Amino acid sequence: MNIPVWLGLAFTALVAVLTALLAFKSELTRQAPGRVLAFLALFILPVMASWGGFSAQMGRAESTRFCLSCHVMNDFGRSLMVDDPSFTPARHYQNHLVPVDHACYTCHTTYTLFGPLDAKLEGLHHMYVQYLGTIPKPAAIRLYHPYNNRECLHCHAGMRAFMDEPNHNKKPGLMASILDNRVSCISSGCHDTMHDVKDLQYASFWKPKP
Amino acid sequence: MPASGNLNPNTPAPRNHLIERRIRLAGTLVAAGLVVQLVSFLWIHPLAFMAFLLIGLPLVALGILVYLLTILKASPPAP
Repeated sequence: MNIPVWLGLAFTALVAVLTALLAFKSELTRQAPGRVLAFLALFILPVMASWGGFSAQMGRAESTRFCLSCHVMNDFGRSLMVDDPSFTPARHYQNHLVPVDHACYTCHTTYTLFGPLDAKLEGLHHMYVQYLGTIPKPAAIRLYHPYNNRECLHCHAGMRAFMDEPNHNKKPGLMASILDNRVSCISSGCHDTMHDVKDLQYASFWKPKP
Repeated sequence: MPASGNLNPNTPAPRNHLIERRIRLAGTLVAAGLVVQLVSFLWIHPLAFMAFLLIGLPLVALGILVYLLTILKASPPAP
């Protein structure tokens, strides 16, 4: 945990102590200073602490560790360490082309106005399936929608290596089609090896040097 | 003499006693909610997230609601 989170936790703990003090010594509110304390400790400060906590929790819900904490995601986590550059997620993860601690979220959110909210709602659905539904086999897990180039282009658009890549310009209009999502980066067959969890048993894995 | 009519300021009038009981309840709810929120930070896990969202936040919100209703009802009527 980083320093702002520790400070937030310390603040929440302090507010909890203050509210507990009021819970045990409510007669403090007979005097004006006690009433001010009550207003702060039972309204203003808990709202601040809860808002900060909510914000921190939402941040943690975007972390790779959070996504991989469910058993069904184990193979998807392992696929990030496959020693084969044709595995697009592994290549991005191992070369830090995506933030390592937010790897899943970086590619699986949608870069739209309500994309982060949509991702959280889908996450809630995942939790429902995990604890109350029928958990599918990892190899049977599919995206809700076809992967949109927009998510790739969030980083790649305008990038020299992407724009000048001969394969992206081998036909007239191909680049425009990629940018418009008319030709998919993934399903067109160019970058179609993703997590491929059903074949992980045949893969070799990269071990980072300590 | 205090407006509530009690002679000893250390002995609350029945109405004040009710207010203090509600403040005690509000404090307990808010403190419990904040403790749940704190505990939920021990793990990075969907269950911890759900505990924060479904137990911690509602307890704090309920405590705040009890407190706000208490001070709303305790305020003297407009002349």
